[in-house]
Amino acid sequence: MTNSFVGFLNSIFVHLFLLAILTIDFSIFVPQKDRINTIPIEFVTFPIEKENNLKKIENIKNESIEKNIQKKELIEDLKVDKKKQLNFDSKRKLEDQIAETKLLKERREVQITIALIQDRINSIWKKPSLGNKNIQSEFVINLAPSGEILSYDLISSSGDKVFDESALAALSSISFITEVIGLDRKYFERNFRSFNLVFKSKN
Amino acid sequence: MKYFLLFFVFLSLTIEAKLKIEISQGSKDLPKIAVVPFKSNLNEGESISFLIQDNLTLFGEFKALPKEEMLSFPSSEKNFFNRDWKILNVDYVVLGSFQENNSELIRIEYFVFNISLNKLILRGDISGKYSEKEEISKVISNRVYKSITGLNGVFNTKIAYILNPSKDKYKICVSDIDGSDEQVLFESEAPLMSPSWSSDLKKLAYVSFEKGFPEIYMQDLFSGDREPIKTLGLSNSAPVWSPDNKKLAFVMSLSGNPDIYIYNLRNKKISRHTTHYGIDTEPAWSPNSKKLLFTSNRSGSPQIYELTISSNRIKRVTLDGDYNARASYFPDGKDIVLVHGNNGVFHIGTKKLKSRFINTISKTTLDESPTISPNGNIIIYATKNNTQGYLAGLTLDGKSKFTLPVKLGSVREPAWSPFMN
Repeated sequence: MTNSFVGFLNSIFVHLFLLAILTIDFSIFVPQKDRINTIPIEFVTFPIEKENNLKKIENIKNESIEKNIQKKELIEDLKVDKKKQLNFDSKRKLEDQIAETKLLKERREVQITIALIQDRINSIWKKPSLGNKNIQSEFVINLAPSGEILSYDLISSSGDKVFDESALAALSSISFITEVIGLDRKYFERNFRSFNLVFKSKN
Repeated sequence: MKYFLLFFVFLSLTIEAKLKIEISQGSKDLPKIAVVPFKSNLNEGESISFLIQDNLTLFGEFKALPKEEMLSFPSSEKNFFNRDWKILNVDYVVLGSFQENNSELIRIEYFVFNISLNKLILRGDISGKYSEKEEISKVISNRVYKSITGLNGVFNTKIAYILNPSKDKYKICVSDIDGSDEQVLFESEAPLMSPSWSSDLKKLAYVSFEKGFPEIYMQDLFSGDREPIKTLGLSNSAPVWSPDNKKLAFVMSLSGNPDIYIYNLRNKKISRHTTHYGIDTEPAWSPNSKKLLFTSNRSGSPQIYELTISSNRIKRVTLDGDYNARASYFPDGKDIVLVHGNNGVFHIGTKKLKSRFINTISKTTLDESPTISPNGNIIIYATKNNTQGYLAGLTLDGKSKFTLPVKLGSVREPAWSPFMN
């Protein structure tokens, strides 16, 4: 009897505890969710803020006449300038931010792919003895999204036959640049569909 | 129309923004070369191909494929198959054959293939006496090297150096670049220093202390005749022959202060070119014989300066580091090699005349007297192992390092000869 009673109390206690956690969690979660969606907040909350400001200003109006002039200016500011400017600014800022993060992501991925391609070609290019010659030759490479080399053409010769041929030999020894596989298709089209490869005798 | 123009603007922008990937390091692996034993009607075929292989691998620029790993032994274009070598990751194949025509005279035919391009890059032949096979294989090696790298080979050049076999014994020696065929030009109990080649390879200038003070001598390599340069000063040093073979730059102290002077070999007149109260020493000629590099402590520490001989105008060349000395020009006259020191650590470095940056290429800390190969690709310098001095070298790309065969005694001050014509 006593055992079942203790069990009953225990279960109530546990249930209450769980309920408490859920409600606390819920209350913590709600503002977080709002904070994540920063885009609508600025537009949505603005009128509320404005209303609050107006209310406050009305209160202040009642309280003192001297401050009225300043507050009127404030109202005007808020009503006219801020309404337009803030809306416009925040919208633009957000657009910029989104574009920037997209660009950053692309740039990062492109940089990584470039480094991988450099490593790969460095490992297969047997640079000839050159003395202190400072020369470079440039190729244009056309790739398929699978990484297959569709074509490579010498567009600017170093003037040194042996140097150009060493680069040609390196390119002819590979048929795929697998480093571009898995890259976002948009990034591939923008950067690696056709790119230039410059072989330099010196760093 | 507007949109049409805009389209073109956009197109040009996209073209401008095309991705450019730069490759400058290259593989760390050395190019692999296979020198197939030459076919002959005698049994001596291998001797020539071995000599060629030894030459090509002398400076560590190539890795040779051992004979045991070869899948076939072609001797001409007909029985050569590219795939046999591609499987073995070989980059270049040298093959050939020779015939004995009449007594002693041989005719060698040779081929060089570039495996990755599947291309015959050199076909040549040479005739000569079998007893001169060393010289013949050096000529072949030079041609093979040129076909592979585009640079002139240096396998038949010579090197001069000072040998110090015991405490009070000094020898001035000349040998082939591989260390063979050593000849002693002069022996003395007093120190010998600073050998320098005349550009026609007939004479050597050096400093001797045999009379108790440093004096410059010019010695004929064939007759052995020695001729001192008569000057007013009591201390003469660092002679260097101009590339046009008309002048000799040297250092003389008239009143205890060393300055750069030039001795005209035709009219035997001496002209003074620096007048600063600081020490000016170690002159080195530019390839066109119009300028000199020298070391001076006029700024407080040893630094490199460039002197234009016609106007005596002096320009400071090095700005970085607390010690820069022993500079000389590369064969193209655009870059220099020097000993670069910072906080007591000395390295061999290279520098573009027009840029400030010094690129250190050797990693040992006691390097001195760098001398550049006439093709500008290899540097030999003197270095020390405890107390024993020996010659070591490296290629400019830093990929290979080598030491020249150790002599009986300390070796110092190497001087690489110009090209043989």
